[in-house]
Amino acid sequence: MAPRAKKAKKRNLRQIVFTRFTLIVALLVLWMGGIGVRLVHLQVNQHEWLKQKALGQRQDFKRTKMPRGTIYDRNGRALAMSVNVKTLYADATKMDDINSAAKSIAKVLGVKEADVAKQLNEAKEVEKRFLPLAKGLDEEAAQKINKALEDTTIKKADAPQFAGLHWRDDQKRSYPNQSMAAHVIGFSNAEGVGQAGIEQSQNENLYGAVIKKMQERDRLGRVYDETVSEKEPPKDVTLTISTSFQYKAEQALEKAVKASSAKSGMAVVIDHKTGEILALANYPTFDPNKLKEITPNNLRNEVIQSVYSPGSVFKLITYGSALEKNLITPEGMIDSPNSIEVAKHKFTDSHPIGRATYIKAMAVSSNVSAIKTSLRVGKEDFYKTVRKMGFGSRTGIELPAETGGIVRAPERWNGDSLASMAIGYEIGVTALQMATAFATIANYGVRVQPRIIKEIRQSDDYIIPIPPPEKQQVVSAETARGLRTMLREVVLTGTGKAAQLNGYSSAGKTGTAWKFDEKLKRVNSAKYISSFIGFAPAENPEITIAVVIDEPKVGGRNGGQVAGPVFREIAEQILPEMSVKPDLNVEQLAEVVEEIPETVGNGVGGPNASLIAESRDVESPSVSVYPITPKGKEPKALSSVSKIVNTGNAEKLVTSVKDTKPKTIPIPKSSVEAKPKGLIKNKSSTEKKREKT
Amino acid sequence: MRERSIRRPQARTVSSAEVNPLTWRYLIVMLICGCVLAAGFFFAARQHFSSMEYGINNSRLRKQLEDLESENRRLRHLREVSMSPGEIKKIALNLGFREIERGTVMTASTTDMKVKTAPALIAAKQPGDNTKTTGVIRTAYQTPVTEAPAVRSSNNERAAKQSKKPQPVNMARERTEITTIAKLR
Repeated sequence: MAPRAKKAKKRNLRQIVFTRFTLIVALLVLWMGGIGVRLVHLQVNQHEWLKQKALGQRQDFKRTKMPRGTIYDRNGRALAMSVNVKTLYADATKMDDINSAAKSIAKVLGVKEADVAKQLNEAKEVEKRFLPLAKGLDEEAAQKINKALEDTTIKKADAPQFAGLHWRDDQKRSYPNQSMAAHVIGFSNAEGVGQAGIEQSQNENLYGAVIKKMQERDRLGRVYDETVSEKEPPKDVTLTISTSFQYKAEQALEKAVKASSAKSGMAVVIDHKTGEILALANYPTFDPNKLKEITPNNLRNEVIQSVYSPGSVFKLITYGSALEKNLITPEGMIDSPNSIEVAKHKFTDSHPIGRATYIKAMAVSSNVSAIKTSLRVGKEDFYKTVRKMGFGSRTGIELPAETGGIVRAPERWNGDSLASMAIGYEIGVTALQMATAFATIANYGVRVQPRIIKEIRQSDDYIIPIPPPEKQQVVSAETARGLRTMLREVVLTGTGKAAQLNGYSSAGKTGTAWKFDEKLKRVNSAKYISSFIGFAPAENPEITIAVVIDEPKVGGRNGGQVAGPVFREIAEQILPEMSVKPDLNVEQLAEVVEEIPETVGNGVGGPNASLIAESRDVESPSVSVYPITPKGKEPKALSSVSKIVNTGNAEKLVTSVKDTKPKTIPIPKSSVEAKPKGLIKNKSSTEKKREKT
Repeated sequence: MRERSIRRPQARTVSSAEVNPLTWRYLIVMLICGCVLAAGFFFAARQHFSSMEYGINNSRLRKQLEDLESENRRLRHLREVSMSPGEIKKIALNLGFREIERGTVMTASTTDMKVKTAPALIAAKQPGDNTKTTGVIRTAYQTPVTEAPAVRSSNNERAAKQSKKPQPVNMARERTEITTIAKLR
């Protein structure tokens, strides 16, 4: 009995163990099964949601912009560059106590607490995670704010140590020289896209690409892994502009425009050997740092976008085409009567020269001589020379919105068009085109395409090659030499005496033209464009300078009077800086005694008689040789001005002993009668006396 | 009943004797494997945290580099601003410099060092006026002053007394100059 009982007991024990074991296994299986089911549910059904949540917790995507490329001048001085600034923004969803946060922020930023609190509350309501509080702060200011907002109780990876506040890196485009060369550089908008000037034309090179950064952060917010999408860095653009020359040109131009109360002014300095533009100035101008102050009036780059009738400066083309055809020689003689009639259009000279050399005719800017010469050249050849000189087509400068000017084909010319064009009317040119034409003559007849970009740099080591400028022999070297002789005489004895330089010889041509009035649909004899374009030194020219003053109102109107001094001021400052040796001594320095007035206007009658009936050939009033002086200051006669002349070895103080009284030139009665009343303000004393009597 | 001697399987004892060392071996191998695995995990964790640390340092350095580049750019910008002609002019005007008009600059001639007195200035001089233009050219360097002996000082005093008296020779010279100018006029 006992073994049986033992056996039964043993069997029961085994059963119990087995049962228990089975139970535990079953439980384990159930547990594992439950986990498995849950895992399947999480991994399959909720896979995407969980993945996104996990990535969201540790991954951070950032879009930063590479700094826009820098624009340099020819000497490596930055003209436009991007600087990093910071924006303080609030993530209102991370702020527990809005009011206390607003109080702290308002105290640091110096703003009203109520305003900040209101903004933060609104942002929190709509769960806005980006609320900018302060923009455009530099590193120094950011550090100060970080220090002021530091909360030691908060654990945060990034600055500032303040719940819900973060910094965002931004960029700001800055122009260190303010308004200098503003029309050349242009400006870019808040998105970093160029809107004008080089900023616009070279936007593709300068544009800073957007970089995407994927950062992985640990639980404390520290970045432990970063993936950056590689992008090509923006390129830097180096211009041919020289900061120093540009400043000098702008200063001289501004002074002249203000002194003559002109509407605007423009100046271009070209190195005619390379076609490089050393300075390109406009006045009025603007500060690209202050975009709100930009208006349509000061935004326009007049040098390349404004078309005007050049007037007498265009006689260069007239005589150039005749010299090229070997029809004339500079020393040749021409009979120049008082007037000439072409297709019932009467053109007159204010001061008939009679029989004189072409040099003299050019020097005194005789209209009749120029017209007679153009008639000998003929329509087709004249037109060819005009086109070859680059008129009627864009120069190809790397600036946006350049105009090609207005040059009609000979088929569309009127009977008097050739005569009008010979003296710079019925044609529209830009200041840059005119400057390039003179540069061609200075460069022995070789026209070099003007350019303003010197190089484009990919990095410090790699420079993107720029194709060399186009060079073309437009007129022969002999023609260019002849024209240079004629232009030299303009400055020595002609209408451009005010452009004589101290220590340097110069050559050039004055131009005074009536402006075309859009409202009147004809030239307006009350509005002038005065210009002087020349080069220096005369024998071996180094630079070509064009100065155009639009609508001078006070002082003289002649190109020699208004623009000549600007040319002189620019050239006298630039040439020594270019290490050009003076080529004149005291004996050679011509004395400025009197100004020869320039013949202005496009004659009377002709097919356009109705258009120009009122705008008679007017001689500007007899003038004294006065430099342009600011309002309220008494003008000085140039003849009595002491001059410092560099004689090569030593500088001497030279004082001219000429009569200090300004000399006057008698005005023909007809000219005075023809002069529009109340339009010309600068009456000489002789004229005033005559009017009184 | 015949008693059967049931032979206890000796092999069991033998086999157990044979199996036991094998079990121990297994255990040791498993232990080693476990240790290797644990060590592997340990090293992997170490590597992981080390790479994390490197990553954090790397990103910190990258940030530092960006900040330095930004600072460099800012300083370059400041330099350009301060070197701009307009700014220089503004500062110069604030410092009291004046803008000069063209033609007002006069350079002294280096060839002719003689001091010429303008005729008008001579004419304006009174006969009793003994102020003379001295020919001393001041330079930056001056010889150190030594203590003068007593005799010298007395000489100087005499010279000073003499200078107070009118000098007839000079006066006469000036008078002749004035008369010459008058004649010329």
